[in-house]
Formats: sequence, structure tokens, C-alpha cells
Amino acid sequence: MLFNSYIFIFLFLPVALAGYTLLKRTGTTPPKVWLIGMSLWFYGYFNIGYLTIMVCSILFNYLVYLWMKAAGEGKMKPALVIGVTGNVLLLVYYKHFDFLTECVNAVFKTDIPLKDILLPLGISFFTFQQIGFLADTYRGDVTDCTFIDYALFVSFFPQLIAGPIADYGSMMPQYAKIGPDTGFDRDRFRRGIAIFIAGLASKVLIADTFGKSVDYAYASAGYINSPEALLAILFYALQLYFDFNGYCNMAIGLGALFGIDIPVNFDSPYKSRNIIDFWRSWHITLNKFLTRNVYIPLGGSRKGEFRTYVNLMIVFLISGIWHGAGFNFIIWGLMHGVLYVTVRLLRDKTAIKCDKALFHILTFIFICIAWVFFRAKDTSEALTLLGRVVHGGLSRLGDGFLKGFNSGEFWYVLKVLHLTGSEAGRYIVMILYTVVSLAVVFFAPNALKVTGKMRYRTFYGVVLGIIFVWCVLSLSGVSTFLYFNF
Amino acid sequence: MNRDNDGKFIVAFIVTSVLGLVLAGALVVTVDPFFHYHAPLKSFPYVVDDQVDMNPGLAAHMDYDSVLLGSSMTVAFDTDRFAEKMGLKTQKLSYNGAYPKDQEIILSKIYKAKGESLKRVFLGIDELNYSCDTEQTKFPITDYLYDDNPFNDVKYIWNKTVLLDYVLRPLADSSDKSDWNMIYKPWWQPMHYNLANVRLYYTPAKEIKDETPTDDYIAGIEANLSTNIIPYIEAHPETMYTVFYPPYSILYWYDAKRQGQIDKIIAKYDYMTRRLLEYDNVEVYFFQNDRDIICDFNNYADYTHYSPKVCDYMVDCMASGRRRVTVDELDDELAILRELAYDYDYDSIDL
Repeated sequence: MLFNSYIFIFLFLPVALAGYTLLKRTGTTPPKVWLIGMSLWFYGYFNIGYLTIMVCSILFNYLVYLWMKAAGEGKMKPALVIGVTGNVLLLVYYKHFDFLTECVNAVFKTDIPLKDILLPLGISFFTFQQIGFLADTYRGDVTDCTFIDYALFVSFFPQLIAGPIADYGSMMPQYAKIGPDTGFDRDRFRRGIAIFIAGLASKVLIADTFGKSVDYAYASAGYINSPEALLAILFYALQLYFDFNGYCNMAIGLGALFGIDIPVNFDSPYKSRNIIDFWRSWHITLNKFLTRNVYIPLGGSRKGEFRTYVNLMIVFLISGIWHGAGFNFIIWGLMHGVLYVTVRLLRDKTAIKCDKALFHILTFIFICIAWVFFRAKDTSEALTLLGRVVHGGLSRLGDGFLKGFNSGEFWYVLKVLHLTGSEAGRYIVMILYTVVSLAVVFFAPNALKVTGKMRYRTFYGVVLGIIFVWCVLSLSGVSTFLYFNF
Repeated sequence: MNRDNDGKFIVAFIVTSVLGLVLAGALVVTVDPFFHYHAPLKSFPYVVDDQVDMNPGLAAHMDYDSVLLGSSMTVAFDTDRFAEKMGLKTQKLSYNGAYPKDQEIILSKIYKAKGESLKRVFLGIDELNYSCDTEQTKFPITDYLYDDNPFNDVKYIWNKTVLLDYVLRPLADSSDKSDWNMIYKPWWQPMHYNLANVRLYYTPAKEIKDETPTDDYIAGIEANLSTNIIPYIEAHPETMYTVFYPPYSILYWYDAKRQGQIDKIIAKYDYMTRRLLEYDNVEVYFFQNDRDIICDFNNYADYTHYSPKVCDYMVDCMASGRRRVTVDELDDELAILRELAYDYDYDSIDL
């Protein structure tokens, strides 16, 4: 089920909230079981087969956890190794089997058939979250965890499909408080409404509009002209920003409606002056996970400069592989790794702090180019699109490229006002969208800050109601979140 | 954090949302631009241009006693001509590039609405599309407009495209309003029907021989006829099925010749016609070999789509029985077509 769908907004969410609110009065276990049940419905709605995989994964990891607790401190390593290996194998099988098979076929000239395995949505997230839980147990950070709490920790629907990758410490104390003693928190509830709608608007009204041009450009990567290629690169950076921002805000908003604080995963990342800051604000919880569970265990910065940089490269390589199966994702991860290490070197070895406006611009350009490898179906397509920037030639933007902008409500208003007849008129909405979006990305406070400071008066209720209606009317062409595929 | 704790924000949000959604839904349901709930309002300037989304509603709620079905080869017909020549109130329900499954789906809607009161079905058959998979539709159908599930109607009543393009835009600017007798009409004007325009769209087919055995095509046609068309013919003997093969221009046969398809296509016509004429409530009109139509490029806007003038002629024929073909006459008609397709002086066309 998608957050941006009629069934979620008008059926699932009201039922989930009503049941949870009623059951919370009866004790601590019933509301948690209710949330788990609703989360399983939410997940199974995509594909009932996925549900089996997730349930088996939860059972497996909880058994490993029990084994670790039974083994006691200092003797948990075998269980940890088996647990982590099991999770990694699950992920590799579902996500990378065909890619690895292609590699084997290419290197050894074999003809092993591909399986065309359907990737269970969110598997990267709930697998990593569970690896994190086992690692926390190993470190002694997990005191006690019932199966109900654990199942809720993994399956809680606002964060199930596209993160954040929550850790035990940030979630479990909140789940422990669920029950009759925690009353209705109106402040948090209305903030939840505001953040959810900000996220919905970010996804439905902005990301999906840019997405139409991006889809067009990538579908005809070999034929587009230079301006289209250049704009497609920029537009994908904006689409992904508003898409992931939208999802993260909706997740936080939904959590708030249930009285749960979902960790912040996205904090105006394009405002970053350099790549190090970028990774502190883009997919924050993945970065934390990799730091805690890969970088530090590898030795972090404790084993000398060279090992530090090697460890950083390993982290980015894993990040690339985690995001997708294909050399394009590996290239994307390594590109970020190389720039990250370079900036670290500059900061550590020279007086250059990499925090001036020039670095900001260069970092953004670099990120946009790297996203091409992230978006393309393979390296060849990425290189083709980048090649079109240089070799595509100068000509006007095609109607197909502009269609997303020139079929929406703004275009309709301009048309009624007879402002679209000229050649320049074709570009008005696209230019407006782009300029406003860039302004928001670079200068505006994010939705969390805005809703944190907002005075929840009648006026804002009306404004958010109008935006909500606008979003609902835009849902008919429902689109998935980009991060669902990772 | 607690800046305004009187709850007005939540109330305002809920009231605005409910009002907005009710208003949007009420507008769509009242105007009902896809005719999902009711017949069109008398005074509203409907824009009828979306065949896949509008046909089920038109079939369900319009007042008619006969229908015109087929591909884009049927969009240029003026349904007033059917009334004038045959006294029939005909509803056009074309699907561009229609496959037999498209016809089956809309036939089920038509009979659900009209039952035994349906007098006549005018069915244009494009042989090219009758060998496909029996379950294939040309375009994905819009589930919420075709099924009987009232819950997924939210996708219709709260739909920005429906509201903006089909409710508000016609209200603001009624210049695109459709004429009911000419819905789905092509954008070509009379001046576009000439060789120069045909030339714009036409590139001769590559000379690659079609290796598919004729029997495979015939098997596909039989599967489609027996699955998607004949069940309705058999179930409704009270309805006369007037089948016609749209007359493509001579360039269609030029391509067929270049690809070695002439005999295969003629075999398809032969099979289809004999199969359909097994039923007393079927009549077939054959225009494919009408030299006056297909060799005159002033009848065409591209190499297959003919003018409203040709449509009028075909309606006149269907009213008078001219160019109707029986099983006994079929061999002769196909022989004329074969000769024309093979022997036409294609070099004389100024391409």
C-alpha cells in the first residue's frame, strides 16, 4: 500500500488510528498487536508473497536474538555471525542474484539462467534494521525485548518500506510506553497532520511533476537534445529530493499521529556545503547504520590515515551495493566515496575548509551527475545520457519533455488566461516549478522546522485542508516512491 | 510547543478537507463528463474525446438503438446519417486500433444497458487486428470506469484531470465542445484529404517477406471471432450485425505486395466472411475492392484513413444493400481485389 493512495488515506489510516486509539485504553499489548496486524496488511497489500518473506525474517532474527541472550555476554559472536550472514544472504539473493549471475556468466563464459526474482519491497530496510538490532544486542545495548515489541519494531508501517533504518535505542522506549497511560497528544497529532501533508504535497505535487520529464528523458536517452539532457539531470536531482523528502515527512507525520517519534532521515541535504555535510543530512539513518556497523568495526579512524580512507571507501561501496544491483550503483557509491575522501584530505591536510559557496555549487553539481548513475538502468544508459549533454545538439525542448509541466493545474490557469500561445509560453510553468523548487531546496527551512514553529490556528488548518484536497485530486495517477526499490 | 490548544486547527483542517472533496466530487458527479452515472446534461458543453474512458458510460447511459463499433476507421462517421438513411439512433463507440477484445468488452456493456432492444450493430473489422491474443486490449482499460465496484470510483470523482480538463475547462471555454453526431471525429479538415497529406505520413513498407503461415493468421482470427464476437451474434438473433471491412487506400495493398501478404490478407477476408455469414443475423459489406474509393487519394488523409464523404457513401450502401456480399459472390469480389492489388500501377503514384 502506498501512503499516496486513496485506500491508504481514506480506509487504512482511519481504521488503523481508530483501532489503535480504542485499544490503547485496554492495555499495552492489544494496541501493539493491532499495529502489527495493520502493518502486515499494509505490507501484504503490495504482494502477499512478500509478507511470508518478512514474517520469516522477523522470526529468524528474533530466534537469533534469543540465542544471543541465552549465550550471554562474550559468547554471542557465533549467533551474531549466523544472524548477520542470514540477513545478508537473504538480501543478496533477492536483490543481487541476477546481477551476480550476470557477472559470473560474463567472467566465466557460462550460461547460468537468470531468475528474474521480484524484489520484495523494503527488504533492504527491514534487513538492515534487523542487522542493527543484532549488533546492538551484541554490544549490550539491548536489555530486554519481547516478541511483540520486536515485531512492531521491524514492521511498524510508517517506516517499513523506505526507512528510516531505526535503531533499538530510538524506538523501543517509545513502544514500551504504549498503553492507557499515554493519552491523546493533540500537539503531536496536529503536527503529524501538518508534516504528513507537507510530505504528500512534496511527493504528489512536486516530485511527480519533475518525474514525468525525467521518465521521458531516460526512456529516450539516446535521442534527446543537450538542453533536455541537462535539464533531466537537474530534474532528477529535484525529483529524488522531493520524493524522498516527501516519504520521510509522511513517515514522521504518520508516526506522530500514533504518538511515535520516527527518527529524522532527511534534513535539507542540498544545503550542504560539501559532501561530508551532505551525508549527514541525506538518508541520515543509513549513514549512522554504516558508521556504527561497518566503519567502526573496520577500525574507523583508529588504525591510521590510510586505513581510515580505505574504510570510508568500503562504506560507500557497501552503500552503493545496498542501493541497487548493478555496476552503475557501485560507480555511484565509489564516486561519493572518492569525493568524501578528497574533502576529508583537504580539510585534514590543508587550510581549505570546503565550506564556501563555490564548494556548495560544485558539490551540488557533482551530486546531480552522480544521480545519473543512480537513476539509469545501467552504466551504459547513464553514459549515454551524459553524452547527450555534449553531443545532443541545441534545439527546443520537446512536447514530451514538457508534458508533465504543461498538463497540470498551473498550465490550465495560464491557458485560461491566454498566456500559453507563444513559444515562450511553453516554458513558463517549467521555469516557475524549477526556480521555486531550487529556492526551496537551497534556502527554505524544511517542513520539520516549519511545522515545529507553526502556530496551529484556524487559518493554517484551512490552508492545509486545501493542500490536502489538491493532493487527493492529484492521486489518480498514483506513482511509487523512488526509495521503495532500494 | 503548545501554541494553540483549542483544537480549532484540526476542526478547520477536517472541515476544509471534507468541503473541498465534497465540492470536487459533487461537480464531477453532477456534470459526469465520462457519463459514468447518468446521461449528459442538456446544457453542458461536453468534450467527448477519450474513447477508452468514455465509451462504457456512453454505452450505459445514452439513448440509442444501434451502435457503430470499430477502430479509428469508424471515427469519421456522422451518426445523423444513420438516422437519415435508416431511421436508426446510432451511438458511435469507436476504439482507436480496436482489438476484438475491446469490442467484446463494449458489447457486454451495450447489451447490459439495452438488452434485446438493440436493433443493429455496425461493426468495422480490421483484419490486421483480428489475429492477436484474444484477451488483448489495445490500451489498458480504466478499471474504475469499467467494473461495478463503487469504491474505486474515488479515482473518478476525485480526479484532477477529470475536474480540470472535462468539467472546468469546458465551462471556461466551450469552443472545444463536441457535436454528438460527430464525437471522436478526426482533426483533419476537408483540405487535408489529398495525396500531399497522405504523402506526409507514408513511407513504403520494407520489402521483407512475411514468413508467418496463413494458417496461423486464420487460427488467430477463428479464436478471436469465436471468443469475442460470435457469442454475441449467437446470443442476440434479434440484433442485425452489419459487418464492413474499411476500405484502406491502394497504398495499403502496395505495402502488402512488397511484403508478400496479398494472398494472406485475402485468405483472411475469405475465412472471416464465410465464418460470419454462417449466421442469419449477419450481413457483410465489402468495400476493399472499390476502385473509385481506394484509388482516389482525395478520399484519404493518410494511407488508410478515409474522409467523412466515404463514410457517408458506406452508410448509404448499408441502407440500400449495395456492395453487400453473399457467400456465393465472395469469390468474385476477392478475385477483383486480388487483381487490383497485384496489377495496379503503383509506379504511377507520385510518392
